[in-house]
Amino acid sequence: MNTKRSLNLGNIPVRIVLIFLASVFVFPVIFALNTSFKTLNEFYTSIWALPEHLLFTNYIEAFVTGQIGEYFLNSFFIAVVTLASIQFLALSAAYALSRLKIPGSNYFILGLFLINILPKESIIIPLYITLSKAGIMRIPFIATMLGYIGWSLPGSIIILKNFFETIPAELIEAARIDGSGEVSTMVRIVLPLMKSAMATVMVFNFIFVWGELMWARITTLLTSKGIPLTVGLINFQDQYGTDWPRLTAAVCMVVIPLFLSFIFLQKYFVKGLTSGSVKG
Amino acid sequence: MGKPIKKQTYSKRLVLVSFMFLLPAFLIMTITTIFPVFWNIYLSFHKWNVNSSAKFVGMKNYAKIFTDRAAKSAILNSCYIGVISIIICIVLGMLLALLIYRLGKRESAFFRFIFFCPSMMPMTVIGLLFVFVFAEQEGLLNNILNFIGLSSQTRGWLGGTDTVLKSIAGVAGWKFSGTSMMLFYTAMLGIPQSFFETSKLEGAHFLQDIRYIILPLMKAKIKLVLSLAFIWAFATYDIVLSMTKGGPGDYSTTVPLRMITVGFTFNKFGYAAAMGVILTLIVGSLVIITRFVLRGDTYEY
Repeated sequence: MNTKRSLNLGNIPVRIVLIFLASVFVFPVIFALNTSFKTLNEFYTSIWALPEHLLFTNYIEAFVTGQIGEYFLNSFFIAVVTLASIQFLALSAAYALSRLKIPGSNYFILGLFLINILPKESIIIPLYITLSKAGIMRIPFIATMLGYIGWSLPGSIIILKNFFETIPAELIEAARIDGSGEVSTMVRIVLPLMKSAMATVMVFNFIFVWGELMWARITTLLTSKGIPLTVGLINFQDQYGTDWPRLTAAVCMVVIPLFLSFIFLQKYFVKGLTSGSVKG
Repeated sequence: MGKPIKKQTYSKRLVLVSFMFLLPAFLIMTITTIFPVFWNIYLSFHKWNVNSSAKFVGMKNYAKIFTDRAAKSAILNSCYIGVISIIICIVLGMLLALLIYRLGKRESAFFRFIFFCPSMMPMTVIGLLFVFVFAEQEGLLNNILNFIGLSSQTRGWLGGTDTVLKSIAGVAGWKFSGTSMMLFYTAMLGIPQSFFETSKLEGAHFLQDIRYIILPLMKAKIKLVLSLAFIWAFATYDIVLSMTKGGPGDYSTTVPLRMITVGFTFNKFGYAAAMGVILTLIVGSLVIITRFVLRGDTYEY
């Protein structure tokens, strides 16, 4: 759609405004990227100049001495495990709610919505106490991941359930008549139709899990293992203060993989949002 | 005779299967959310440090919040950052979505990506990046101001008591605007083109299209984004910790920061729990108020 309009010359002012806004949006990141290749002296001589040569010492320094590499792997591990668990648990719950017709499922959805908008501040203290009494705080990763999975489930279930309902019931009925069991119907018929909804859920959850700080910081108070990137960056900031080239190198290392993965997923993500499964 | 019985056993089996599908998710949500919320309310009426047993103190914790200067200023700071950043998020997000909508789908993908970038980045990273932007000597903003001849406007943005909250709120609103742009834009894509063809025949221009077609049809989506924005905008722990650690003094300390200090440094878990409840009540009532103000017909199309 809109192919005609995109060629409209009347859109030139729109483009100019958009290009201006876009440059305001990216400038801090470009500037940080530029700074990350400089030495501290170079930076203070002229903050605008391009780096004299492509210097990777800041990255190596941040990666090794600043332990960003280790934090990165921790965050990656946490993201993979939580996202896979959320996807599995939310898909089966959403499938049950939309297809198998549990009595009272409308109230259940309302409850999910309420849980979803609850500020985490009203959860973390009792949850911390429970998990530390159970001895889980001493095991790295588990407490952090448990919180993320539990908090992401309600929103994910709602989005997936809304999308499930757009799949024609006849399709599933036909599979049932052909003798396909619930699990195999879901895996072989429903899942292939759900790609865009799953991508939407995945993007939202990844952004949350990759960027969460408060819970991550509390759950790693007593341990030096399993510290994710966000907490690591705060430690890094405390350690290096205003050594901007090094700090910006750390920032770039976190941001670039995110951008790359989004470029990859954007197509499905927009399709998932457009289908109207994200509604209030 | 045989048929109805068979049907009944089938649906019973179906209900059983669905409960099995639902159970794992439900268990985890109970452990991580439902149970803690109720315990948090219970805790907020008690005086408790981990070692002793909880002592019932009634409303004392709540009464203390309204006499404690630090707690009061934390609530005010939270509200200030929340409200300003939500306004920026909605207005900027809508503006960006409208501009992008004017372009073709292919061309807009590039801008969509750029404007969504800040929403993808962790708040902590954004915070660190803007500590750099706002730095007094070597910061990007002050250097740009010098460059365009506005040297008089340069200042230590995060060190000044009058600019620190505004700077934080601005950065937060900027970050959220990416997601609201995305949600608004995808909602606009769903509006049938025939509406615009009709309005064109009647001689309406784009601003009138916005006023009479786009905004009314997007009411449901605006309501959704507002509700989401309230949740994001009051979760200020990461941005404040990475940008100012609550300083200068406690001029930018917000409720989550104060709460964690009270709980984990001073061991006053009951008092911290009460702060959590107050924050929840504030966010909850704001969501309800906006839903009430924006009530009425939403259109199906």
